[in-house]
Amino acid sequence: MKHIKLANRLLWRGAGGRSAAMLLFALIMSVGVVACLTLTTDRLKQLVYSQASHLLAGDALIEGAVPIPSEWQGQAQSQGLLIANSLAFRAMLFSQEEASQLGAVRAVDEGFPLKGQFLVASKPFGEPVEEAKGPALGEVWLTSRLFGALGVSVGDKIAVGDGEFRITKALIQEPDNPQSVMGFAPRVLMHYGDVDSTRAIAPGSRVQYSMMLVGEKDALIRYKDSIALAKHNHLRWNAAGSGSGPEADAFKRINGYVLMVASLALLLGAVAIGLAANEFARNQNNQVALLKTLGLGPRAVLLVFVWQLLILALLGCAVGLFAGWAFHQGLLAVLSNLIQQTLPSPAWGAWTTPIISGVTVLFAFAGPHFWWLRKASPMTVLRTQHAMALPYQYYLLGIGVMISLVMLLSGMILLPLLAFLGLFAAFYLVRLIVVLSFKPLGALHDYSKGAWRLGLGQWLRYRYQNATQATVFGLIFMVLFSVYTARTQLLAAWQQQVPEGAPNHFIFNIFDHQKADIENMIAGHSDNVSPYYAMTRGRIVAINNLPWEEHLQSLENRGNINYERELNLTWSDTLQSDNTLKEGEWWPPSPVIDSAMDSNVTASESPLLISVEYEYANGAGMQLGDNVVVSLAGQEVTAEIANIRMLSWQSMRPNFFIIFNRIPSPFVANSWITSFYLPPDKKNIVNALSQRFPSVTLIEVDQALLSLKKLIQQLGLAVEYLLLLIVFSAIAVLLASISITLPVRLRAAVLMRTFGASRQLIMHSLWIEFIVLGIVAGIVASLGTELLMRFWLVKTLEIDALGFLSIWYWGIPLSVVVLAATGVFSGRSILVVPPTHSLKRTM
Amino acid sequence: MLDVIDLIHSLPAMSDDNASQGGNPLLNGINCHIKKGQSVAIVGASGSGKTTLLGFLAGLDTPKQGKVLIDDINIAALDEEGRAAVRAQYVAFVFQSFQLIDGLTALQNVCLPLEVKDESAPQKKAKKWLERVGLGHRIHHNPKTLSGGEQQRVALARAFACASPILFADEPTGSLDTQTGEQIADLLFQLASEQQQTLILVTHDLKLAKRCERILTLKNGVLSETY
Repeated sequence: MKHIKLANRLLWRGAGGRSAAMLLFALIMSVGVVACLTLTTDRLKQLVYSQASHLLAGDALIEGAVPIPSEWQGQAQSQGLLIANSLAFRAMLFSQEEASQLGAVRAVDEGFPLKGQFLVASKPFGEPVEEAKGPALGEVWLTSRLFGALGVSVGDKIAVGDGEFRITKALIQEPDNPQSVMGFAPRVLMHYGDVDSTRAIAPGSRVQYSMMLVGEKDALIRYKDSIALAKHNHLRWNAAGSGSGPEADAFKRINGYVLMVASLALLLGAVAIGLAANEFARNQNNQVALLKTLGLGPRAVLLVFVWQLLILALLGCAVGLFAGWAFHQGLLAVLSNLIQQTLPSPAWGAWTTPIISGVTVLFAFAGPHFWWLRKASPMTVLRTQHAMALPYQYYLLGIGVMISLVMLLSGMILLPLLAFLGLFAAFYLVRLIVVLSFKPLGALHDYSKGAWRLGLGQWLRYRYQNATQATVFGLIFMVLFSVYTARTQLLAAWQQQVPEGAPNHFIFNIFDHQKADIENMIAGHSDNVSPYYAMTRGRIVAINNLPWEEHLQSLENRGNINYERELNLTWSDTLQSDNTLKEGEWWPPSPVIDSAMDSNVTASESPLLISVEYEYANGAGMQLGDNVVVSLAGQEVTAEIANIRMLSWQSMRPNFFIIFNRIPSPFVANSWITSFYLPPDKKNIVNALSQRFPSVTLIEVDQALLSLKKLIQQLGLAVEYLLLLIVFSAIAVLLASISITLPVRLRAAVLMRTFGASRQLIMHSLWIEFIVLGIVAGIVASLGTELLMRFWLVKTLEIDALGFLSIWYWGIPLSVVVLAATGVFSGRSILVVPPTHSLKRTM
Repeated sequence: MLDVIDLIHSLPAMSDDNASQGGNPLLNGINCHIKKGQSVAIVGASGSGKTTLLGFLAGLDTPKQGKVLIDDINIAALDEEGRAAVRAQYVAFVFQSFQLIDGLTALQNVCLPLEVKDESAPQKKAKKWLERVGLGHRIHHNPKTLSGGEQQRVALARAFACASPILFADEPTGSLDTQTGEQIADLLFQLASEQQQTLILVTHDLKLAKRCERILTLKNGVLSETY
């Protein structure tokens, strides 16, 4: 008890009171920033998860081309999961005026959607309103363009297969946007109970069966295991937040960014705690010596310090968590327009992670100083003795703990290790640079006069301390530069993901005779139209003389692509502008190929080659030179893989897994596909196109793009806020570290002033000294940022081409300006107060 | 009460020649016996080893050879933990530079050794001693706001509050002007006498030394009685 009392009193009021407050501040900052990040990511993760759930209309989805076993439904319900069913098929639609159209019918039961809502309107292209449930028995909802194609209105009746239904609403958007699943025919939505009356499903019909589930994540995993889904080749499991797609990509990236910010905040905290602990230990040395003369032994001294660390940890964590919550609320306030839902409560992990991180950093970086202090010699009270410096191996302990912590936070092993090895190397590199610069700077010093001589002399005299300080300042700047660079790269990458004015409509099934008219119509309303590609459908049947199915079965991991399905294929002599070759060479253009693009000329005698998309080839184990047999409406052609290319799925332009070098067979029937951008005020062209060309298929992805854009805007704001948070933290740490190291730096200036040096001379020498410090710190920061970005950012943020980093332009000048201005500003105080005061302050 | 037997110590070597001889000899076989309640001054020129000897006598440091016995406990053979226990039980200090903790008030500074020893009613005792040294009206003042003489009075109160049998004073008037120094010296001798404490005073001030019952002079590493 006496130790707690003593510890508490000496902590705040003893010799180290000021540095104890700094230690506490550093801890509060570390815990606060990390808490803000964990709370925000945890809750945003849950929010994005719930948004992703809306895209599946549930938390998980089982889908496939075969009926879902009925016992699975019972099993799900018995395990406390909510379920809903839907099935999709194609059927002919007839109006009472006998207009007809092939439609993509979807039937949903009363449970659908489990998450999300329909958007419907009272007339085609009308004002959308939300609708929680699908159509009632006997009713159908049609997508707006079907009204034009069939010449019907709301209230009319249409026939779907053999059944007759009343149209009650125009369908604007489905919660899970399933258009892409069923091949893009216009949608008809009906009740699940009406499917039998259509008689459209016969043995051999293409039907997509889906069962949506809602429940806790763990319950879903247990359910998935219990039904042994892996044994069912034709059914797939899709869980919210685990899939691919732009939303998942955006979230993966923000997670990577937050992880980096959290790691850097911890590094910043470690720097601040290390500096404050060093200062604390220096100030405490005499006090410990005094306590020892009063009879306190090393064990008791250690106990006092352990209590002090615990008091700091307790207070720091409590206030830090409060600050973290406040920062988090601030972030939510910034995002209030975008996050309209009530966020779920944060998980326990979001609270415990910052506590564990902060306490670990405190004990790892301040602990060794405290441990070492117990050795302070009591003779110090009788005779001035310098405190024993903490041996280097103690710093290694802190660094080791820090690496482990970042590994735990990030779930990565190699990257944090490499990053810290890089920082370690940078530290010694700086010392090497300083040592190497000693000779030329020494020569410059010998030849220089006045302020230059004084400033350089000061730098050279304390070169090793200067190197350490430059590294510390460099680390702080590195944190700032890294977070800023990551933010810039991330926003640019997202911008690319949803480029302004990118195509937001796809149109296909365009026949040769319609192409010119459609081209004219679209060109009159859109200024961003993709090229028109010839398109046919086909299926791979063999590879290198091995049946395709056998080949696929021999593969261990095929990824998420369905390799059994029919593919959209095209042929082209030019590589699409947004595609890049990964392996092999693109084929040279030939006149025969050119003509094949526009007309059905006979196939050339030149060898038939194909270009395969990288991920598709990778998943299917396809390699350059492989011979692939493709079935095109019953005709089989053999082609050799000439190259493998990467696609930009974000381009919103038609993309193909497989491209031939020429028309693969003279008997292939093809249609055309393109994509184009329509601004909201020109949407009526969609109706006009549907009415004039009922056979073409038109897909509107503007709504989906808008949601993605909103999500990205939301995440972009979060990124900016986190940048601000880290900027304020870094500035605070920078000011604190300057205030700690400044007295030592200003000592010579104070003496010079005492000896009668002019204000101008002192100011100029200070400028020179701090400019050199700023240059070295700027080099450390820029180098550290460069390494961190190349090895970490590219991986975690999935940024392919980082390019030249702009920090090399502004990093060094900025650190020079900040350090020189702060140093000289602080130095000014020496010039305005009597030298005796300054001497007292710096000695 | 305090016995020193064949105490030898040398400073670290500055050259290879010195190193082969075990460094620069500083204390070269010190022997003395100090009785309970006696006041003893140790005098000597600057650099003669007075402070080093004080450190050994008070158990702040350990000599290379020899014994230092406090109440028959050889503190030279104890580890740091053991020496700390002996200091807590037997020793109090008054320093030239006062060694008060700036952040604590005068009262809290005096309480400090009492709290270290876990004594009962530390505040009451501390207050009593501060009043005894004439600082009853300044108990809540920070040392920085006190004059040099007042600070040394706080240090005296801290030293006497523990009622330790031996009081070591290292140049207690060294940082004070003559008049204040004399006042502090008067107080020191008066209180030590009242408390029947053994006073070991290290000083180069012969006038102050002469107030002690014995004067020991340290010269060329040897301690000799001065009469």
